Amino acid sequence: MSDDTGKPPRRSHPHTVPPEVPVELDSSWDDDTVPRFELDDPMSESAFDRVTAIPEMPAEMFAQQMMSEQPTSAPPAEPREQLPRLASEPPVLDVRPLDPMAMQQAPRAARSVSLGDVPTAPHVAASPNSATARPGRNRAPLAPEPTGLELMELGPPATSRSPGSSQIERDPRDPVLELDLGDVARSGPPPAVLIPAEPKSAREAEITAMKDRYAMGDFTGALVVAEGMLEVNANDLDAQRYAQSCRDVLTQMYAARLGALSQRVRVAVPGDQIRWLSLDHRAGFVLSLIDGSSTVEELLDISGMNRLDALRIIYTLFEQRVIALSER
Amino acid sequence: MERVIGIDLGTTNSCVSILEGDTPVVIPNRGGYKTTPSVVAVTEAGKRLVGHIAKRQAITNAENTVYAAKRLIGRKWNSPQVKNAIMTSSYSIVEGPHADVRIKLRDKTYSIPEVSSIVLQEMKIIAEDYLGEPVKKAVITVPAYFNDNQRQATKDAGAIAGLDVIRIINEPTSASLAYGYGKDLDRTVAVYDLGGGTFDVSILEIGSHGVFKVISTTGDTFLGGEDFDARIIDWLIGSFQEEHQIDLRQDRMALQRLRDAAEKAKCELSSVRETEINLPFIISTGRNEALHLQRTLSRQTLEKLTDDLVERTIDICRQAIGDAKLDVDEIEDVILVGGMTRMPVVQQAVASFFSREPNKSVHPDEVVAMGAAIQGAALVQEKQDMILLDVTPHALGIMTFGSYFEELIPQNTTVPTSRTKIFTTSRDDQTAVKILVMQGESKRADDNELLGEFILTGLRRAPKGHVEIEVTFELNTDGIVSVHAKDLETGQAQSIQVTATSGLTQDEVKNMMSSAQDYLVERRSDEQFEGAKQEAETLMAEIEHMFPEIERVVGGADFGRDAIAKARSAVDKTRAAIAAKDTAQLKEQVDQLARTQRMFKGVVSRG
Repeated sequence: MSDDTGKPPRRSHPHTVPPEVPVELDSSWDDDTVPRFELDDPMSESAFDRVTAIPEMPAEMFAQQMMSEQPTSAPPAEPREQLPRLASEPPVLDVRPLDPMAMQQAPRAARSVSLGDVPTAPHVAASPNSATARPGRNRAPLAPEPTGLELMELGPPATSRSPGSSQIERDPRDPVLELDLGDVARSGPPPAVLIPAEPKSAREAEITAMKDRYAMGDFTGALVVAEGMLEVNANDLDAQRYAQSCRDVLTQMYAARLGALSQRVRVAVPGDQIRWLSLDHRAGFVLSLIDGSSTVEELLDISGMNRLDALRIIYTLFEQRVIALSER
Repeated sequence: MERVIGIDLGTTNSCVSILEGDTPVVIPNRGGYKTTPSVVAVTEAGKRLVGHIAKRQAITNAENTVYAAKRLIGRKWNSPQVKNAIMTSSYSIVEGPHADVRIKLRDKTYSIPEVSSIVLQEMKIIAEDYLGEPVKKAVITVPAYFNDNQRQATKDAGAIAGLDVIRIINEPTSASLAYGYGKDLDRTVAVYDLGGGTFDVSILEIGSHGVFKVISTTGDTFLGGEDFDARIIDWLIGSFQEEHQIDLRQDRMALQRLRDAAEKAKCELSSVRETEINLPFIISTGRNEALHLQRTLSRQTLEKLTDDLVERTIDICRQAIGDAKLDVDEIEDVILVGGMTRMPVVQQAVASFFSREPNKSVHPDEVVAMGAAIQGAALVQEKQDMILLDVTPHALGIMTFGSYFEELIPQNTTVPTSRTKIFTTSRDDQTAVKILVMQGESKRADDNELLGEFILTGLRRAPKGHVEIEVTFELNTDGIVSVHAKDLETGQAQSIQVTATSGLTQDEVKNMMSSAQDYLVERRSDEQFEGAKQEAETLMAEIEHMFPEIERVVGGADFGRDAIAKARSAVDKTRAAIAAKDTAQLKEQVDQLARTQRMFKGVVSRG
């Protein structure tokens, strides 16, 4: 294939694209896959929570279990016009909604790529109401709004990529990569990417942040934002809807990780060593409820906390091997 | 022959027993405990909790946890006991439609018999699980001081729970029955009952041929093991505050842990001289530092903390002996009832007061329920020598001039009975008289329970004391009191029939029975589903674990591919059945999974 200038196709990668990195995400505010928090640090709770967006069980299994109606394989990428990055432009990511399941499958190293390493995406379709020019943010309309509590509704739209795909894995012979600057000049600058967002109210900014995080699968982050909004206005319907949906999804995720809630819970650490653990008083309280005969479900009932908080603490204790689960 | 269970429906703990052969057996609950806390709660998710599980969240979910409902049962909304409970309870007590008492939990309001029925239903389930057959009949114990309304409310609670309450008996009588079971005793005993929330002391005469007569009973409905726990909690909180300047009362989770730890320490100190209270991560400071509470509590310290409580029980014993018009040395045995009587200092105090070692031949937590079971069996087997006589628990009479109470039917009178007395007018030219029917033992009418009232009119005008009015009380076996007043000269008569009421109408009781039955069916169904789900999940995990090995063994054979596809389909269908909460479908799939698992195991073992 040739371009308008009639130049022969060149088989090369753009020099800004690392050859083997499969997925590029702005992970500066994203989750990690491994819990690495200390319960006695109040900040660490949210830090930990954020990881919950990515289930640690095999993504395929999780997807089958939780998103049974979601197509397991992503549809093929639609052919799109792709433009090379201008030399003066900041790196731009493909901003289509990402599948948290796909994020799970990606190697951690890939997701820890810093912004500077992020390759240029050849095409951007930024929303005009984007609240931030920060690369990597989803812009509306990126994901369906959480109208229900079904996890399958939270998945990416049909255009999303399969876990392994990304723009950098595109066939290098793809003619769109062979456009030169002259073509760009003729076709005009890429739309919207660099246009600064209109100044917005704090609420609008929060809503955008909440939606962005939600669409990216950062349900805990979205929940934190939603709860912050509800502190200001308890009747904020958007925040209520998102908060509820986030709680439901997170609850399902923790429950899925723990397995059957009918399992008995026992303390796996000798009594005299418990005080040397790094726990906060809430985790200490949950630990004190464990008598060796109670089930996870019973602990949830008697903890006096909301289900999500209690599940999170139980999961953390389980992850840290402070408690063990066994079938009745 | 139909089995009858005996239930000790306690203020803080309940116990169920049955007669196996000739031996009364206490039935443990699913957790293996022989007593079940009389605590009912509703969780945030609307789930109902009963017993230990409800108690363990009693502080963290205080507004929706009911304890000591027995203090309110059969009481009128305006009674002082209800006012007191409103002041001291963490749950919301509201007025019912018949001036009765209701409790609001989350978005539903429950009558007191309904709350008690939840505990009774739990006891029924415990017995049914143990016996493997449905249980219908029960004997339930109540404090000796309960009036007819309270007894009727307890009966209604039993009915709501699906039980036919064939007899209500007094707790001290029940304890004495178990104590005297198999012996032909003739003696005067004291029953010292220090439970979790109440203290009662009763003096009884046990006669040969099954005569158990309560001579006097008194107590304190706000004195029990919880007060001892509270002293330990105060001690712990005080020392922690001294050290860290943090008030643990402000944190519900900390308080719940303190309460559990205090109760545990108190129990341990009945057998050891000191115990360690270790509560790591009891609270977090503002500096994100979790603090631990670690204290050693000695028996001596506990005794010092609670000596006034023990002394109060002795004062009440003194009062009971006085009410019975007996001397202490006339008490021939002392029966200890209630878990708190295990405390050595309590036993010492009792021994010191009665000048004799208390009897330790009966189990303090179980003896009341055992007596009820003995009585239940005697009733269905018609063992006349063992059947307690049905007596009126309190005296019945009318109010007379000056607000005095005139007794017509004395306490402990065997029913049915009838008594008549002549009264006169108290004012000149009095043409009408108001008859106030009351129940109680106090000489002051105000201290007794008003059962009903009516007015007799058309009296002859005459100076005071000249008109004679005959008042007749009739008490039948169903506890219905008929009061008849008649002007002996004119023959003018008026009467009233007083039936004990729990504060609920018959229709309300029926509706509650129906709801309770529905709940039971739902609960049984949930249990079946959970059981099948657990089995299915175990099988699915095993099958999925074997898939790679099966694929390797069968290779590309059509048969193998077909078997794997069928297995995957069974797993999918099982998951769908779990999602749909379809118990029937799930059970079907469990069978299918079990067959698949057996087949896979066979293939793997051969491969």
